[in-house]
Amino acid sequence: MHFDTAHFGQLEVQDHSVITFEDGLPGFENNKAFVILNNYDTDEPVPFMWLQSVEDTNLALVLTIPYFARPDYAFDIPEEVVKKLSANVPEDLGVYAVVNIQDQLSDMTINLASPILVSTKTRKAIQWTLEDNLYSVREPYANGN
Amino acid sequence: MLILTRKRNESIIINDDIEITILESDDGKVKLGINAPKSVKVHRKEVFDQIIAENKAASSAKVTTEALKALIKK
Repeated sequence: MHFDTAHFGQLEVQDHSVITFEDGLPGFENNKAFVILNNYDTDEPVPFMWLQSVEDTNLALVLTIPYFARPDYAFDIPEEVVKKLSANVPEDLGVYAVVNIQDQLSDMTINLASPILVSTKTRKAIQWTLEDNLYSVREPYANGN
Repeated sequence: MLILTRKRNESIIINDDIEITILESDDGKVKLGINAPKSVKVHRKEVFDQIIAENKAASSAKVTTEALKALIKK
């Protein structure tokens, strides 16, 4: 399927690369189909990627793998949420954090309070708010790194 | 908005499987007990609004892939 992206021009993706947020994203409840893009041509692992809406070219958010910034990031996911994504076990879920960049790249923050969970098997996704209040929606990315 | 008045220990049921009970009500504060399937999202509104605001801010970030790549190459 072809669609236009905010940063990578027109792309073609296999249908199975599309991830589906059944409830949309908070703030964008009508946008349910997305792809995760990382068009990097480097060999080094780059922990940033784009969550690009298939339906709206201009809707793209930066995501990161939170464990790069916070190796001890840990949380519990209710079994029912795992089932809702039809994943078999919690390890089938990819975990991403939304990155917020305002003025300086070095001041970027990541939302560790509501991670994005993606089932690698079913491609269903959800932005799940953690119950514990241990993390902020604006955790500084550069925590002494 | 549907408006109902409940007394302490009375409940409302939403959608057959979500029950909200007034546990205490004093001093301008109301303590609510919520019984719902664990896959149902329940948020304090201000927290939910924060997540929406954060997503919206993140979606309007003016950053390019090049800039992000440069950040990694230190």
